[in-house]
Amino acid sequence: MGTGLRAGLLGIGLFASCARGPRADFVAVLWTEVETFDPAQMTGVADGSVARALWEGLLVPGDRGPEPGIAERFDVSDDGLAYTFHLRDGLRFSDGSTLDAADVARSWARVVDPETAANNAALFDGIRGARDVREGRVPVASLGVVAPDPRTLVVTLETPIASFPDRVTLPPFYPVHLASIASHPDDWQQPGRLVCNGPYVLESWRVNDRMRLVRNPYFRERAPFGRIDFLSVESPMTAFNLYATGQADWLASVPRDVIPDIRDRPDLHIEPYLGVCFYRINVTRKPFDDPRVRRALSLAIDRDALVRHVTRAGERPATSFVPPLVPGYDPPTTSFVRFDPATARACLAEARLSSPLDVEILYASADVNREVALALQDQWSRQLGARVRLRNQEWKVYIQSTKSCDYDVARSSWIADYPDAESFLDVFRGDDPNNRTGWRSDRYDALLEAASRVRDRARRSKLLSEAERILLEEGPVLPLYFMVSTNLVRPSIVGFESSPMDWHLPHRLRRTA
Amino acid sequence: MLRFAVRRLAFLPVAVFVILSAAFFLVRTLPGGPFDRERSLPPAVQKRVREAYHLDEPVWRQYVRYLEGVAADLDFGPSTRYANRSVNGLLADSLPTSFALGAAALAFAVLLGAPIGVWSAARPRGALPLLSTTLALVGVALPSFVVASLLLLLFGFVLEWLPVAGWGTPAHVVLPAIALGLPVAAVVARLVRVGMIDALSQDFARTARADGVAPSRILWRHAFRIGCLPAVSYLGPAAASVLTGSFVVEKIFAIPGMGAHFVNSVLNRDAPLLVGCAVTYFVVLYVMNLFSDLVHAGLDPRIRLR
Repeated sequence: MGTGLRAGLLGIGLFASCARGPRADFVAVLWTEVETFDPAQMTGVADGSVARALWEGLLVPGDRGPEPGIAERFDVSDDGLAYTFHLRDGLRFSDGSTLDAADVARSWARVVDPETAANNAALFDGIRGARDVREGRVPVASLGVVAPDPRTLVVTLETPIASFPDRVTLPPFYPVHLASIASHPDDWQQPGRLVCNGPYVLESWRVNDRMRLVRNPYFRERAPFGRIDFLSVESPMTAFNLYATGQADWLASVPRDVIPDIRDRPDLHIEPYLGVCFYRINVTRKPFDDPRVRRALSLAIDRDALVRHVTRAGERPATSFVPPLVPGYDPPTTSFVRFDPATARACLAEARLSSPLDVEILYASADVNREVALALQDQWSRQLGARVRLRNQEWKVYIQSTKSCDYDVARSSWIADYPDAESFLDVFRGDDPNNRTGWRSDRYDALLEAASRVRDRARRSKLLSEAERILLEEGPVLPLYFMVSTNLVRPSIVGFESSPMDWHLPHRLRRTA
Repeated sequence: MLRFAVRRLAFLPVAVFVILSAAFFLVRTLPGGPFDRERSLPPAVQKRVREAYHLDEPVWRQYVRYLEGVAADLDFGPSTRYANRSVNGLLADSLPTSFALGAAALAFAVLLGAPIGVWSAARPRGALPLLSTTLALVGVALPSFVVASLLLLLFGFVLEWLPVAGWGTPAHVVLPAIALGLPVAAVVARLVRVGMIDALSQDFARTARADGVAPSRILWRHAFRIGCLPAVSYLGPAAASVLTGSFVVEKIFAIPGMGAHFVNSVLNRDAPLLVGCAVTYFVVLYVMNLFSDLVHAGLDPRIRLR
């Protein structure tokens, strides 16, 4: 009886859970599961990767800056304050309904509307009225975005923002289908319901397994693959195994451990990435309130050794906080972000500590974080004679600890939202919730404020660079290394371009015969 | 026996209530919340999101609201990790997968473990007892991720017979089912062996032998009914844990089962999903234990259930 029942169960279970459609024409592997399909809310890397297949913004990211998306071109007024986007003709959503400039304007208004509580609302700051709207001071109608006719969208800025076209490629700027959101407020993101405007539509999604996307018949061009799958595979090695055995065409992040072994393979793409790994320093604790102690810590870090022996994926030792990849921005050169043990000891001696330096490194549980912490423990104890302790915490606990400034130094990283230095430097404004160091400099804040108001690009870049110098010389950060993006793409796939933001458009990829 | 089953099942809602309450409050004692990230949410957004999930209310109100949802329509609420997804939907997606894999693993465990146990008890000297002891030691001592990696290496990469990960075809079931079932098979083999040695030494077996009943008939028809009882007791709770998924095996083979939800719901502080997982596991455990008791009574005429 037991075995009979078990066999029955087995049969039913296998039948129920193994049913899956035909093989996809292209398979991409992501490491994490998508959190949301709402462009107003998405913050994750995986969310963005899938969103770029489902939606198309006014502009799309290209390897040399933004390229035309649903807007075939745009004009900028001489003062840099008015952007006029000219939309293509005959645009449609994936349900066949027309998409015009008013849809874009309403979608943008939805993101800044405080009712929406969008994670990404702050990315609209700089558009006239955006900040006041999202903080509830003025009605949504006062947002400086208007659609004078179905194919024209005029955006008025408060100050010229050089990176505005880059920002417009981001998910919160996508046109969403407001009618379907209004009629199904709780489940408009479900497969079959989700209306989008990109090359693909979502056909099915099983959490922790796969998202199946099929060609959107209403997209303005025919996407090269009829079906694409995005697999979410939590284990990096499993993801690699899938690629290695030919079950995936694109692996969007390569496990660190295998990189040294496959470094010379032509299908491995390692590219500089707009992200930085750094340690935060809690300046509310003694002796870290003394900038000389912080400088000593920075000067005692052998960053070359770190990237050569620990991270090993081709990362570059940090020389500043903002990676040197932002167009038109030169990070400052400072004498503190380099390896100079003698000066480090001199700085420490100057600080005249009453007891030997005692540092606790806080990090979130992960192999690479632990290895970096071990390396720094060794370097600081050798170069500075410091007593260094390690404390690892589960991710959410670690976030809590940094938020409440319950640490000495804490391992952190930051990835730009869009390629602009302010996307990094804003973190350490005195009132920014991401600051988490207790550090505040009125001069730093004033420089960033001035940079956000200045119209001349070169001058803006100079102000930002000056702010970064203050951050590096007096501030609460120890930059460690600049990140790299790692992708494995099957050699039969062409059209994969490098991008400092690691943004790739799935419908630009093709398979050679 | 029927009365026994009905009485046990009648107690189930009370037990579920206790488990649900414990899970509900325990997850709220953890530091950190579901919306804490590296990148802070703006305070206004944080506030709206907390309101949307009723996290701004006092805990007892949240508790009452949650109980009402569960009691009225077995609704375990929305997941805080996956936007626009309900816990019921997530479990409905993942539980059949884990069940299918678990059933295959159990079938493998029983079909491998039981015969080894029986034969090694029947022939106490020779290669079989050695095999049984080896299997038991290896199965218990090797963690499933080691077994899984070895299987992957051999069948996935060297021989290239089976897919290395994923879910969707019967071929995808084989390796994870072996990795998941091997430790169970090891315990089953050991328990069946011990049970059979005991059963074969009892009077009824000696009488049957004296009566000239064929040895294989004694072994399978008479002694096995009694000899498998220790394994049956063990298989109740073991089945519950195998059927509801294993975090490690699912992760290595990228299987969209329930095991991942058990761990990730805690890491993500996804309280509704965690409660849903705990209750599901508990119900399966409860039913499997009851099932194992009933099988016991059916096999052993000496047991009377009241």
